[in-house]
Amino acid sequence: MADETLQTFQPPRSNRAFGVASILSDNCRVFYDSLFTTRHLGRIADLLAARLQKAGPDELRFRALILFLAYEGFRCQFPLELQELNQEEEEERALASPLTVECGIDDEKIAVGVSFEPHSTQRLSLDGLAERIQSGAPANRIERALVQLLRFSGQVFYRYQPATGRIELIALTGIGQLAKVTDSQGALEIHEIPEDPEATPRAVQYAELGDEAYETLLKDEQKGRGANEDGADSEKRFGGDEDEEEGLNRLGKEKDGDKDQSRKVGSGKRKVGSSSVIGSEDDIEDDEDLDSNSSSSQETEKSQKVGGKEPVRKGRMKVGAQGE
Amino acid sequence: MDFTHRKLPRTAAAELRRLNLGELQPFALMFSPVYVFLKRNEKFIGIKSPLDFFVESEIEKVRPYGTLFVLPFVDQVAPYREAGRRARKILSARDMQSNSEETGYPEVKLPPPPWEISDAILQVVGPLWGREGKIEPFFVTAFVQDLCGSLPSELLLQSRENDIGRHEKALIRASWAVFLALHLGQCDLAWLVHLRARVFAETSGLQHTGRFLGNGSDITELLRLAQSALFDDEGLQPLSASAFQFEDARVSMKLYSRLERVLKEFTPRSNYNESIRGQKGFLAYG
Repeated sequence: MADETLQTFQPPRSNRAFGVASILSDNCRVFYDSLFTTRHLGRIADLLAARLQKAGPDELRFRALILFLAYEGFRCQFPLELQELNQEEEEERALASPLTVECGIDDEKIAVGVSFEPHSTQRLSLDGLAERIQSGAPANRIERALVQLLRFSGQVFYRYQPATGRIELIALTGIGQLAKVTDSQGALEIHEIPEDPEATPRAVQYAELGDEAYETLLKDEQKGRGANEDGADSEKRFGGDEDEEEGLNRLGKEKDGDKDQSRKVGSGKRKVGSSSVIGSEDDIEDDEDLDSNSSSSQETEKSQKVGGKEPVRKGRMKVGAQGE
Repeated sequence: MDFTHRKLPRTAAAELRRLNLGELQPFALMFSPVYVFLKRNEKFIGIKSPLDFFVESEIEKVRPYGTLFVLPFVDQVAPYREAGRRARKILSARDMQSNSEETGYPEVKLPPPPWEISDAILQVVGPLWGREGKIEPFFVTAFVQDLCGSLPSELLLQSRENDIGRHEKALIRASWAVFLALHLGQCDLAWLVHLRARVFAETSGLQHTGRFLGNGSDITELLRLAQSALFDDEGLQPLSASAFQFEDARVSMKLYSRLERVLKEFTPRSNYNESIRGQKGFLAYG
């Protein structure tokens, strides 16, 4: 009988690039949104959970990943003394650049990632990081976040680009056959990204959340909020005058019709392998001929792997440079 | 910026538009050549080129002429400027708090979530790409001027003084960066204003004391794209939505996925198809 604990995710397509697409296979789809405040985080989790519901992730875990990564992505950009802000202070404090939350899916996993430049008061170092994580002695906020993230992720990627100070945190959670097997393994991979990173491998689709059929996906909540059928209520929230509203209303109505029927993300079906599909079957396009060659360009010099097939929190992980 | 007709005959009066001095704002960009009428010569003489601006002393200097004149080309620019104002209104949605007597406690109405704003913005900027999925950078500059308002006066003055050609290129490039950021769903007005000033200053070779843009997220790729997208010397050639299709950068892939929607939903029924060149423009072909 096969040992289930030996099952792991497919290796990344690139360890020298940013973006969740580099972790996922070449038939992946990536959804993203750019955040300037934390105000709508819960609704973003709602929308992504609704969008990926048919893929069958552990929804609570999936939501937790989104919230946790966004939380750290925001807080780590502030000076240490300001990282614990009250609500009013946080609303007044602007990020240097938006926090982009990427959520990608292929036929075995969902990857949630954020990329940001921590505040200069955060001292980052990859030296001895794996050992610190293994021994449960994180040295700073981001390392503490890694320890926590490993508790509820199938795998975590920590990417650091010393030339710019940019880091990327990506957490994976399994779906389908790998859902139960990998969701408690807590493997950590650490990669140094060169100053001139590789191009992110292509995804079948990048979808900004504004291009999704969000009104349909969040329909129940919209009703609860008292929105009317034609969406005019939401348009009025932009505070335009009557004349300007007309244009928005007109576009909004046409959009609703188009979007819900056909532009959801495509209407065809794509089969990946024998039977598995990515996301909702209704949303899979059939207009591209993908090859399934997901060759990995695993880098050995600057990469460390912690754990892998064994959970970090149990103290049984393997530490060492990948490929050693 | 170069324009073909430096002088216009008196008979051009029938077509020219009046620009009242009272409406002229210092540091507001001009989107047409600006003329004064010299009675003795019976000619209209161009005194400002497109993308230039007046400072207060210059406004005082032309005050004796009573009225300034611009080309009917401003009618072509107007829809882009109007779109900029609409986008600004969408991005200006703020929390609204009202005291409800019915409930007995204050109600806070949250601004729309980012995806709704991004969707609404795309509906404004999508049709600007024109029926062929192309847009001239000059019109993007007009759109962004009304979206973001005037650049800091000291930056504009210094940039124009240093090198007028570079100044114009900086205006166009900074606007392009903002336009692309909007397409990426980066819909925060204060940040876009800052992004524009930053790119403008850097392209002009000036120091900008505003906050750093950071290296996180897609900003580095976005800036690189804004730098490389305007290929020709002056940055005036039309830009095509399909140009992003074959770029390898992640930002390009994200942009193209949004532009696919633009090409499918908005450009087929777009009324925008303007050019600075030709009979209706201010620049002759060739």
